[in-house]
Amino acid sequence: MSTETKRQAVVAEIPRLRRYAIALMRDRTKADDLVHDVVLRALDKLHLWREGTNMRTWLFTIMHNLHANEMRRRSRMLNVVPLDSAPARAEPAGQDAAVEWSELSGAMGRLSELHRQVLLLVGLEGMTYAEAAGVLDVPVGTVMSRLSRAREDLRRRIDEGASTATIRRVK
Amino acid sequence: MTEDRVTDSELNALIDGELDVARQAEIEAWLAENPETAQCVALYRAQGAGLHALYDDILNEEIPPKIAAAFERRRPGVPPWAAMAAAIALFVVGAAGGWIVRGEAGPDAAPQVAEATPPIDTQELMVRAAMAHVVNHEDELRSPVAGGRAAIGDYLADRMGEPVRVPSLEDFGYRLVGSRVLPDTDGPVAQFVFADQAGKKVSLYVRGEQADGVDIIYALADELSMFYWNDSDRPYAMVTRVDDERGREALLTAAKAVHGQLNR
Repeated sequence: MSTETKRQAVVAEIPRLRRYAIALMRDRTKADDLVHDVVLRALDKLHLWREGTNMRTWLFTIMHNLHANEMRRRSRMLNVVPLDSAPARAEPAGQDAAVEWSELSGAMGRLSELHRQVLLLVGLEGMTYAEAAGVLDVPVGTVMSRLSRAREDLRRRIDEGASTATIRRVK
Repeated sequence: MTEDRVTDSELNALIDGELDVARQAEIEAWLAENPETAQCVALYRAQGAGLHALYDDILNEEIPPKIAAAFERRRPGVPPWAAMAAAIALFVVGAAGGWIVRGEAGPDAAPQVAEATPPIDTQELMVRAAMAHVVNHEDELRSPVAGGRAAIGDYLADRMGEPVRVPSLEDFGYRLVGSRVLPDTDGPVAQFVFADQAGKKVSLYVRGEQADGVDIIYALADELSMFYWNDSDRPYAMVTRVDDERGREALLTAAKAVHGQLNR
């Protein structure tokens, strides 16, 4: 496969990389910065991509690693609050929420990032457990247990969100 | 199958299509009898559909200019050694020990040139050789002026831990500018740098350790041209900036001369 063909294969994955990054980071600017860095890294390392292997999971793996490094770097600079107890981040205005899904979007934002990752990789990207495990560099069993907890947690938070909304309306 | 053996993991695996057909049928039958769990599964499926509803529009958006610009910044060719890495679509030439290049075996002979990807070790060595050619300053080279070629040989032998022959390309109009020892994955390598009167440089990268693999590889990136070969169990890589076909022929001739001198 020629270099140009490989470059085109990278281009073809950009929409999916952006969808995942935006859903994960919930901030379009940061997400596009991340995808930008993934593209640069991928083009620099294109010779390491083995033909016949999955370009998508390769790129997602690069993205996961870059993102994890960034989070580690930040955690050295800031006091990190455990994600589960962190206050919900504000939804960027006018972003992605079709009105009927706003509760889901809000609940996604309140999930821990580990849970968001598996939900998005499997539930949105349609990766197999094995592919998601490869991207996240964890055993398949970990993907399964995280996914199971993530779905429960998401359901719980949607319920909470719904009841909060109801209370607000009552007031 | 007993009811309590349906685990959360299995329900998730059902949703994600990770179960084999038989087990899937069993669990679906079980769910028909257990409406509460079935409702939970339906809810989880709805979560997945909801994620698509929330985020799929992003797939249809234009690629932001900043990301598109990343492709421009990484056009193959800049820097050249990276292009060499990217463009290691190579011509693997000839049979064992042969220097057979397209056209050379005579007009009737089928060209024994095959496109192939060499082993990863070889590719990496080629990239390092390309990099060493590009990132190179005369001040860093041990010059032959003081003690001549013999002094260079001693200097290299001392650092490589074994005798090193110093090739000559004077017959081709290239004088030895100098040499240096560089670190490589398996130990030191020697780099010889030659230049012609116009200042055009050719470098030769020689590793002491045995290398497996291909006999002769010709690699061409946007700005660099390289012959890589193994003989007497050593890998060699000869690199120059490429101008034209004539430049490649000259490089090949020089590589053959080095082969002749070092392989006696």
